[in-house]
Amino acid sequence: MDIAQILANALVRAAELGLLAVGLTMVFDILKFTNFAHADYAILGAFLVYTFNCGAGLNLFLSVFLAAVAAGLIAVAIDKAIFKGFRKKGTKSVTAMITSLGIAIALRNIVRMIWTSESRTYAIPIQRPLRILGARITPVQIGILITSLVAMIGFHLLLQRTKFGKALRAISDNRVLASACAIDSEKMIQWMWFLATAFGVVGGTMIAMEHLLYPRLGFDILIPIFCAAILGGIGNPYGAMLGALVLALAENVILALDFGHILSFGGLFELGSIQIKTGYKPAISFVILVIVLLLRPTGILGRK
Amino acid sequence: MPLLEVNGVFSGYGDTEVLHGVSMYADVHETITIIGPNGAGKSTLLKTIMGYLIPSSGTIILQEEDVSGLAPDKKVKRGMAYVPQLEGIFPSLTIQENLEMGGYYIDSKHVREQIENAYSMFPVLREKRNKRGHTLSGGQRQMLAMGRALMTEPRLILLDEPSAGLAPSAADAVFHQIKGMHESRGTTIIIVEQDAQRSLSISDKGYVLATGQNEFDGAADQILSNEQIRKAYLGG
Repeated sequence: MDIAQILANALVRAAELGLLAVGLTMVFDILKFTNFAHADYAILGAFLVYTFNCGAGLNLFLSVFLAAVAAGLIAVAIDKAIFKGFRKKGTKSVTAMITSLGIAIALRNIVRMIWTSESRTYAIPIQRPLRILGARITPVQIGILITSLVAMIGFHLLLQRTKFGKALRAISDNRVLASACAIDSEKMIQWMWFLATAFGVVGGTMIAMEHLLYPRLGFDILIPIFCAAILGGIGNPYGAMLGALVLALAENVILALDFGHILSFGGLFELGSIQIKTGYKPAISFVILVIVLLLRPTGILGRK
Repeated sequence: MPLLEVNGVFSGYGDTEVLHGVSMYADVHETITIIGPNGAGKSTLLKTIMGYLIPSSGTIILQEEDVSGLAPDKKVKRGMAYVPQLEGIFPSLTIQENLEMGGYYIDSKHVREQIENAYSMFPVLREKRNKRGHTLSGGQRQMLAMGRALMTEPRLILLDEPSAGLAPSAADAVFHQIKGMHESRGTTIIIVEQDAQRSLSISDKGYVLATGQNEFDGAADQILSNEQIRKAYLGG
């Protein structure tokens, strides 16, 4: 078992999932409903990146930036058209949740309509992996790690040091009191949608960059994102980051383990090599999700 | 000229009407207590004055301006402040951040001055400035809640059951602070309170509500000495 490689793979996976989980947890934290469309917003953005990058020939960073802004604005527009009305009427959060499921399906099919079901890749040349501390890691993966780290630190500073971030935390704590402080909750909620979606687009693009980009990708990554957010403690952005890391480690360790070796007590008797196939990777997060919900539904860090 | 006029207000939650034509007046520098049995609509009245509930009919006039339909954040900018019952602070924010949020819309230099004012009024908050709100005791929370509400130097402050859930000694301290706030700043204060005796004893005027309507009003000492009201609402 190559520990350095497992760690490297886990870190890259955590970097991708973390950005998506932070966005999901933010929406839950402020609006108290689970946004099933979160991953599909992200993949819509990832397709916009594809168009800007491969269609218009823009540089990848600029493409990601433009797509994050565009998808963020779409999320704000959908909030204004649908969820704002729910908030005014005091609609139950389960209604909002089911509505988000509908939005997810609609977005996925709009993406399919525009870009077809074909799998795509970004205009990144095939790269030779570098060897760092014994692990093979590509320059793209290094880029993913750095981008995610910078985004998370930026998000932390935004939450803790700026008036905007404090107001966002205040709204999450007590919206009634926030309006007694003259904080315009509606405006803050729109910014929250924008940020959560923009973060998601960056995360979604990274996942597509490492694998393939196709319309159903959002659905495929939904469970790992939920698992990361719930594992860390839903509603807690730091929990989402930690949850992503723990999940990524679990996935990579479990895939690397030789269960034949373990079950035969280190080769005491002949069992052969038993490894979980990579195809079962999604099942790992599903099983972890079920275990967490059974044993510690508040997650590792719990609510703030 | 009254600072606040509430004229025949009808209000409630959705289809459930709680206030059926309540009126009240608050002059500048007055302290007013609203009493009445549970379900009389006392908290609903405060929420309606503050704009969390919009009256279905009747008007709310603040210094000659009709503010009936204005949302709470707009009312804060016109000099009103509100301390909700029990949930007057942001538990996951530090004490300092709670006060900063109280001064959300005023400029940062002024915020620093006001935070200093709050700390000198409530020294215990200064000691705990970097602790999170949820670590405070009930009495300290109420002080933070009042300090937070005072950040904008309001002309009118609405307090919803400031002594709810507090030990008697903490409640004493809170009422002492309310009195001090009135004396030093001249803020007009409207209090809804279960402990009506104590609240009336620091008030100029009192209103008695019953089933969402005005039952009686008058000078605080007059209410305290009224045999019928004592029996009905002040526990003998």
